[in-house]
Amino acid sequence: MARTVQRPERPQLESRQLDDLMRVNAELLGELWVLRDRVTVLEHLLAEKGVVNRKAIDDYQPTGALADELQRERDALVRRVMGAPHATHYDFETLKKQT
Amino acid sequence: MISIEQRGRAGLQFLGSLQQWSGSELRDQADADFAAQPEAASLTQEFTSDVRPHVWQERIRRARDVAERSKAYRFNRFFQRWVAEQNFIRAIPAVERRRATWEDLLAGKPAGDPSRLVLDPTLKMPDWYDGIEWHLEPGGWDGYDLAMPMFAAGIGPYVFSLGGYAAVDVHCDIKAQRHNVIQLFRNKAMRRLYEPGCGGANTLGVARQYYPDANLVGGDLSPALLRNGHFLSELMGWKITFRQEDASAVAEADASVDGVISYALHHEMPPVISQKVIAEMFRILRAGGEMIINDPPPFRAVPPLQAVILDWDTDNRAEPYFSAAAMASLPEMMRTAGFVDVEEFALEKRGYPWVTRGRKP
Repeated sequence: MARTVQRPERPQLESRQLDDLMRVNAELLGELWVLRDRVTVLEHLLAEKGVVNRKAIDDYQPTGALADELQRERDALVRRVMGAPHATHYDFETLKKQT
Repeated sequence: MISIEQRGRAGLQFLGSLQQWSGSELRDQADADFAAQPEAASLTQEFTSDVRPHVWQERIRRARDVAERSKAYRFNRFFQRWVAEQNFIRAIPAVERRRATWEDLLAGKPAGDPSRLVLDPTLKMPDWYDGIEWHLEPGGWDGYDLAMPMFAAGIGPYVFSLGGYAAVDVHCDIKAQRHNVIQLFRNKAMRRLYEPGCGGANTLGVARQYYPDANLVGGDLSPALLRNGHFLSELMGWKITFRQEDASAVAEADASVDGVISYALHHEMPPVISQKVIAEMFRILRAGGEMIINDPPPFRAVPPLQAVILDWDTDNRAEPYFSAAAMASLPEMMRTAGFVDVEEFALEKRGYPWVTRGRKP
């Protein structure tokens, strides 16, 4: 049994290139929401537990391991979002690598 | 119930919001755009008469050309396809991140009766079914071992439950729809109810609430869906029997069941197979027994733009028989099989749920 879903040949918008660009935009908006959701949850939990307030987050400058983590995540974001128009299929192997 | 982590939850909730917005605002604008086209009135008139499949195909092509003039329609379709893909692209990694937890949960089978699950490893999958990746799910129904948590903790609550895809209108309550369809049985003293192509326990689980003492039996080709249905049924105490079998040749005796419920099945098989399934259901029903079918509406029952949207699923959402089913006539099939008092009607706007029911004389 096949485990790879292919995109249809016929574009939804007026050309495949427009579809590709719109895929980038949709991916970006999805990622933006995931991030905003997480930040909002985080700030809520931190404030609830009296750990840190929003001003302290605004003032913080990342360095060391945290700066490295942010770079890894940033690179993955670029690959996933800007690579969206070049992704013609998805399968179990590629999806599992995202874990 | 185990949940999925933040990234998966937020990502799927985003898809739900996008589909709801697209399915309401863009869809309404697409309706208005279509109605404003010079061909709209004549197409609407044409679509009220039933015709042979090749004429339907030509009509749909013309209506699609008109629909595609609308930016709202095109973006609505773009988002429909994108969300359908992203359901799996986002949910599978989310489930994988907690694989060990899910495996432990599924290994601890609920106390229950294993004899209520009958699998047939020798059953040959029909050619029309084998290899199809239904709804864009990689590998189809049996392709992913953690499909149950993927749907139950992810795609189900965050996307599917909100409606706005295929024939299911946005903001519909798909659970309430099952209740409304089950309540259409006129026989309230059901002793045995059968569901062909039951998938899991969704419909028969609802039926249990109305028929607490009846024998409920579901058949399906997919062992994964049957296992999932059995797991949920035993967990909930529904005591449903699940059997792996082809709906055109089921292991029920002649004239042995009081009712047959068929829920969202016939658009997932060629009409020639639907005819065989309906004939088989006629065989197993007792005299006076009733068969109720819920499926997407036929083209002849919906406006041209809705027909175009239903037809779109065939090429874009891994529903290879959607258009063929929408061009067929379930009432005609039921009458051919011997059913009487056959009728068809919609329960909600945009024609879904679309109910066809008849009685064995």
